[in-house]
Amino acid sequence: MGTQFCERFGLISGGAVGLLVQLIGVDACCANPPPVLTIAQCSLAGVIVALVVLFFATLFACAVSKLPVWPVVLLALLIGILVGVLLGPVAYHLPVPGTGMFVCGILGALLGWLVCRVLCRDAKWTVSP
Amino acid sequence: MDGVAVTMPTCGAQQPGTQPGSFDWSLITAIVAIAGVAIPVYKAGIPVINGIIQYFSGAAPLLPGVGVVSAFAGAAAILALVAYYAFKPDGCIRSAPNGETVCISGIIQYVNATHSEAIDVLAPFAIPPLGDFDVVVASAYWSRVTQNAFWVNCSPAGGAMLRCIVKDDAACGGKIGALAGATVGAIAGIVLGYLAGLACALTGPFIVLCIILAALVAAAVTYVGAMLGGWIGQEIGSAGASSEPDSTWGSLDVGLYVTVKGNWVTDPDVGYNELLYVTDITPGMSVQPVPANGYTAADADAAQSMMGGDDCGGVVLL
Repeated sequence: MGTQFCERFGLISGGAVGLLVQLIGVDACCANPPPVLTIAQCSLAGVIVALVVLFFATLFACAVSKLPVWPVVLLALLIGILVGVLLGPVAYHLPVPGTGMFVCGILGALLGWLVCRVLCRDAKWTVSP
Repeated sequence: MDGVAVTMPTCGAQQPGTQPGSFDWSLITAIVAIAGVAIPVYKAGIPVINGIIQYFSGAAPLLPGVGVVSAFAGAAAILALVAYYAFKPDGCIRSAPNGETVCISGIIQYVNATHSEAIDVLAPFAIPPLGDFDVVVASAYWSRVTQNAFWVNCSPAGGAMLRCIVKDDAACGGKIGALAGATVGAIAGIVLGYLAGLACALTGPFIVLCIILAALVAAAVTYVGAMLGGWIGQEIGSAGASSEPDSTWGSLDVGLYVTVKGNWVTDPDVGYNELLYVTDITPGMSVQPVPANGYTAADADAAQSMMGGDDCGGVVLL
């Protein structure tokens, strides 16, 4: 598996965290004022969103693309926790509704790429002598 | 018979340096599109869906509203997934990569069935090819394996192989049906997702669970719509006569000498390898027993000679 796989997981989870966590902080939901969250609560909300989304993404990836289950699950877990913890507070504090999905999606893709770069080795192609 | 190349290919890596990765813009495009549409949806909802919500719940949706946009996000994510598969350049909705129509002959070394009943049922928009088979090509066709390729697969005995892909006739119908079904499902999903979110009574930080619930319900309903539409599309797609490769596929086996015609492409999604999307298969003799180390180009050349040539016709200029 190359870094592209991790980038996709990061992009999907980052986009979801960006949109859904940012929605917590907007007003006019169900006549309740928006809650004021601490950094820790933002991270927790981010982790919940990221792990739920990546659970279904992992299910789909393993079933359709026939990827090995446990490496994919471990990568999803790691990327989900990283994206949720770091991007949850970012998404909550972004001022313009709707920007969270794009900004956190890109940042999530970068985090996913970083995870793969650290944990996985890319194949190096060399001509045999 | 093919033209120029007579040098035996080197198995494995063909070019020095790192294989280029292909950047997938489709996911970024989907994120940008969904984010862009989410802002007006948050402010004003979706006109037709606002009316449906009012009809079923007795009240117009709360706007600007978290409920509608989170349900929209869930439905849009599934629509984007179905659209990603439906709009792949495989000749179904988008035309196939601009390859070259070629003909090769050789002996089948491996046969790999990739068709899955589970995917037919659970993800009809993502039906894989029926399968693929690796042909140890006769020496006259070595150039078809090596040209532009970063990697040459070989049999254990060193015979250069070309991977041949057989498409599933029902796949295209499944994709189109799933796209239509997902669209209908998205409308129902957004309505039901909004109502589910509205019924969720959590407040404070736990409101994120209500937002997730709205998105999940909408996504689930959209996915069910895609499945139903895909099943109908598959039935329509496989109603006519089977294509020639589809009907011949079941008879292919290791050791069979074949002439294969198809669309020859260099696929960045498969390691920049050469692939042949099959349009015609002509089975020949069976070369048995299967050697312990597999077939070589010499075996393929011998089979070609015993068959009195292949069905590729005249010289093909490279």
